[in-house]
Amino acid sequence: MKLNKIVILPAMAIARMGSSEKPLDNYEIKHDPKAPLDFRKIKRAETFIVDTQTGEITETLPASDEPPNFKDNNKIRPVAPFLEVFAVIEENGEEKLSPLDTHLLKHFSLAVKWHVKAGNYKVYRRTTDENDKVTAELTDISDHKQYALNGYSPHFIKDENGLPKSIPFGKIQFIKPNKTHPEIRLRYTPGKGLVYGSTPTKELPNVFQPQEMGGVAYSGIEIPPERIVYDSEKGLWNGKYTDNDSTLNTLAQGLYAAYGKAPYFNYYQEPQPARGYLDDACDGIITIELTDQAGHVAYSAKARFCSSPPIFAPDSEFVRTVQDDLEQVLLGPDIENQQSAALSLAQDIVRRAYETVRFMNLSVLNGDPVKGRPNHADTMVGNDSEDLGRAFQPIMAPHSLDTLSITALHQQLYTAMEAGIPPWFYDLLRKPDEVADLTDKGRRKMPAMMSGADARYLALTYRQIDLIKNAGKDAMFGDFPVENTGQLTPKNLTAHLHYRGQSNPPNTHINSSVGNCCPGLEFDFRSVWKRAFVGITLVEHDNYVLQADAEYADLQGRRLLSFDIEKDGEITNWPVVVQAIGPSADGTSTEPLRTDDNPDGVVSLEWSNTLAYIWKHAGQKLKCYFTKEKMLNKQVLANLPADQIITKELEVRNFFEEGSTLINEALAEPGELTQGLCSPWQNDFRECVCYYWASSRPDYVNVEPAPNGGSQGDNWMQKKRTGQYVVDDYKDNRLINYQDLFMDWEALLKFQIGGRDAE
Amino acid sequence: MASQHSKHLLNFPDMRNEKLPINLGKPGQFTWRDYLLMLLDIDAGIEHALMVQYLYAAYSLGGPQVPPDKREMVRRWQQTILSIAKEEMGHLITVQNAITLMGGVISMERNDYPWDHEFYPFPFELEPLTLNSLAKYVYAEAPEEWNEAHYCREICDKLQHGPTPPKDKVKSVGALFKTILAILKDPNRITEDDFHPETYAYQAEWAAWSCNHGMPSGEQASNQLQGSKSKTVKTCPTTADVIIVPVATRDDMIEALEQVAEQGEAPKSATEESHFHRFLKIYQEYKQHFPENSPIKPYKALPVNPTTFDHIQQQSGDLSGTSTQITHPISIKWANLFDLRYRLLLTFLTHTFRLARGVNANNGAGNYQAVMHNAFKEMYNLKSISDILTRSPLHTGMDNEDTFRPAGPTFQMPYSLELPASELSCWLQYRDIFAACKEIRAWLFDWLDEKDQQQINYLHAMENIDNETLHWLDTVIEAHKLARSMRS
Repeated sequence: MKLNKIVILPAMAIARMGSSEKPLDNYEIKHDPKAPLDFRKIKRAETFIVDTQTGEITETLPASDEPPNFKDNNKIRPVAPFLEVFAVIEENGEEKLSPLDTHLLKHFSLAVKWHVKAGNYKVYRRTTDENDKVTAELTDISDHKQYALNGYSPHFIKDENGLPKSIPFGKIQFIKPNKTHPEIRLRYTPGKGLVYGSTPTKELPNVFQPQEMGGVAYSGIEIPPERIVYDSEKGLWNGKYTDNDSTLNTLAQGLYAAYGKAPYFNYYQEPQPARGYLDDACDGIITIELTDQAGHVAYSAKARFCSSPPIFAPDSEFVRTVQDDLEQVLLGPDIENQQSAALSLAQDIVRRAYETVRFMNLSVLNGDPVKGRPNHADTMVGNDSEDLGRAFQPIMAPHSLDTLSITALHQQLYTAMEAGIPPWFYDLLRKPDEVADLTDKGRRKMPAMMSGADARYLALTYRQIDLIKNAGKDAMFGDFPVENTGQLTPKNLTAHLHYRGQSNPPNTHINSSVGNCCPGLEFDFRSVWKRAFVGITLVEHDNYVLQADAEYADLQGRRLLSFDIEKDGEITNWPVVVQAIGPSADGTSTEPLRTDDNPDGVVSLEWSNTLAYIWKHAGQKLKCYFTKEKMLNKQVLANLPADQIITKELEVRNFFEEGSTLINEALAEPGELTQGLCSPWQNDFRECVCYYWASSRPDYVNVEPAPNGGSQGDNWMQKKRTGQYVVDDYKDNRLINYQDLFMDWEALLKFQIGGRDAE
Repeated sequence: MASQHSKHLLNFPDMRNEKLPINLGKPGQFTWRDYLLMLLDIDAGIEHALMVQYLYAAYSLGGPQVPPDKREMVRRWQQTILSIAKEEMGHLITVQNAITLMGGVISMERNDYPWDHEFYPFPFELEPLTLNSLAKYVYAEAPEEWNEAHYCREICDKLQHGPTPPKDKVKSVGALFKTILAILKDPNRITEDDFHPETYAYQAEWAAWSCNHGMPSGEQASNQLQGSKSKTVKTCPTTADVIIVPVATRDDMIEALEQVAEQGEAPKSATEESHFHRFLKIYQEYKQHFPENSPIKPYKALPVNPTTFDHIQQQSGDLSGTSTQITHPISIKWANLFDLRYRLLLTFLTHTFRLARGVNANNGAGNYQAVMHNAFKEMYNLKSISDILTRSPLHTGMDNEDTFRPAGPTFQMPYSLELPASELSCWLQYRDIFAACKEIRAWLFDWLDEKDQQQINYLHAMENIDNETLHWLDTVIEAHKLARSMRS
């Protein structure tokens, strides 16, 4: 028997914040075969109970038909994933993957050491001041105590004892193996989801206009003294920082608590100075080292983790998840064997589509007037006008759709697929290079009314689209291939990607995470692509070259326009930008959409799909085309004349670490995968209406048929449930506002089980 | 059997004459408006019959006997014919818009198959896609001036010597449109008072009905503007170019009907292929890859004109001898379920023309959109049950692989498609149809066994979604009852 290597699975674990002392139980989401379209049933699954004092699993809670309680009184139960270590054992010339346990450690005379690094780079992402990075590190953990993972920053103040203050990112515990559970695993328990503040500024910023909101003023938030950590004298974050550059800032701009007008105005009108708030979200890397008797590291493995907000609709999944994006990298954008793609895979996408749609108030998101009032909610319709000057006009025919009927239409697709009918709606899907097609036809493609990572219309991944094109396609010839992910083996990386871990609830897995969206919820996953080419760093949402190694220093400040890639046996020039198009002012023709700031109507495409075809060339060089001119505040289309372009051959980086599904450390360091998210994250729940991730942060709940034939229900953010949807409006005090969220989010935000308030 | 219109068409003009007669065949007892409405009604029946005929032909394609190297092609044929069927549906709906504008009665009626129609050179029949049936489609969709020597002669010869040679003196659909347009364009025959522009809001519009099933006729996608990839997108022959045009004026109506008339034979857009060209292309490929004498066929051997009635029970159809009775008890139930869902589809479609689109911003999205989306749902149910029927045995004793012969979708018309006069009764009628579906499902649940798991899964999902629809219906019915009690 030989130990070839070790692996940590899942390679990316999601923790979810909450202040209860009791971590959330494990559960399963079961669909009822006799009512397959109903909300899936949440049933508690076998759950490890850890004694945090000893570090041992002392009990296993049995499975139950009932769902777990997601709240413990008014405190949310945190989701605390286990990370398991597996050994690649070679025996008789064959490799197998086995849980690493005390027996194997003893057999190979190895000892365990853990190291953890985590970061919250949200402030740094804005100010670009290195001293604004909040980082945490734990090293050489070999015992089973629960260790606090505290984030420090040079810009943090000291406490009354003269010790540097920190933000608790949560706790780390090496679970003590015992007879029943001899496996090697580590548990990460996230922070409480609290908002942290800055010391008072000597001079309040000169804001354009005080925020106008009903009820208690936004400026009335009081952060308790123990959570004041940021030194306003040392750093810019409190009152001295304002987003001011659409290329370099996050997309959207102003995703932070601000002085002055509501943050919404940050990205549409006058950016407002930051209020100096931070949160306890983070992402990081866990390393395990196995040392031999001489103390030398014989084996090591890594995994990533993040802490993020809860999923508030735990019985639903988003139509495009991080797993979809990672599968595209791992397996490629095209289905390998089109004839063998199982119909159930496409059916799963359709299920996720209606699980998303049913939490969206489609009539409102369509831009229809509501009860006679003009609809100024934050919708894609509004974004089209604000960003690209398109005429404000409902996406579908006005009043031609409603949440219930469109959900049912999606469910009917699913129903037809139950009968063995392959998807016939490939043509209706938005292709990834059509996201800025704002013609009527373009905007009506699917998925509709949601935003992708480029802040334009969401497209599925190329692989999802190809799956819908091909799954079950030979049913008309009597072929019905079945889904087969296969066993967990050392080489079956798809199985690695799908592995959830014992006692880990489904919301720890990457398929619970909203995919490459703008900005995202668990991750700002756009950040993972920016170092795809060795030697340069791109902006996560833009083709601007932010940084370059010495060898490519000349590329800094230029824009990547396109690259050459081999596809279908031909070299294709692949642009990374497109031109937004839409109806002319009189509606009689289609033309580029131009604004003063963006005269060519250039839209940078999201990286995940744009780079989908490069990964199979990892380690090879691709010919890349850049603007000859260095340009920060100007964007151009990819088809520039040859004399305005320079070319450079750049090597494609490996996306995953060798032989694993761990995202390459060189792509993103701890803190970078969450850096573009709102600071604090609660802002995001107020900023963005549902169209980014309705199945996690719902919009439309308690939905019932209405007497007029449409639907009625509540806005999830509505304080009082009336069955009368309150349209999103930053000044409407019937909705939970920023202050409410910062101070009392756990009590106010309601979990949705079966589409209804769970408490 | 002559249609109910036949007796009024004795003087219908012979289009082989250059000049149309002054009265355009109008019988004396008709006004021009009335005559125009009857002709539109006739056209609606034809569009409906063509759509179903093409759907059946498309659903017949496939089967395990199709060699792997020919499957992509056969699949493309199916998509092409389905796109033509969708376009016929667009025609049917646009004609309803025209009828609505003229103040006529919505017309979704047609006869059961086979149906010998004076405006169609062959009986309308449900039959698999054979070279012979393809030849009929090519012939029927061909422009009058078609003379592509080789194929024209070949197809004419083939049909002449086949079991159903084209009728000698047929009043073509082209002639029907010519007559309709001639009446419509003459303000002395149809006056401005004959148009009811206020009905516009009640008509079907492209944006709501077909926004994702094609593009407005003639519109080209303009993605070539985007970036450096010059991507010329044109209407793909496998993608429907669905014409659904609401009309408010005489000119609107003329333009809409001209579009409908042209799509079959000679579309305006250079990048779009006519129905005729699409069928001809399939014919050419079919002949090359599955010649007449080839033992391998690209289709499942679906019955001709399947029916759940025996010949004596048949209510309509003038060639009842050529229909095929489904006798396998489970397949009969599936066919019954199919016909009920077909009835639902046609009822929902008819109902949309009674419900104004959501023009009252205070009310928001209401019944109109719900009924419209229910029509789409039933289209998907028909697709599903059609597929199940093509995998189900026609007769008892045909269950095993050696003796298997499939049934097929029946598309039998309900006894009536007329909507009840009161709105409340319309909603109650839906509830009846859903209840009938439930009974059939219960029977099928009892008789299907483990090997039919896919069908069982489908029925469960259908039941699930029907229950949601019934919940919606109950809410609407209660609202109507309340409104009625308040009125009284």
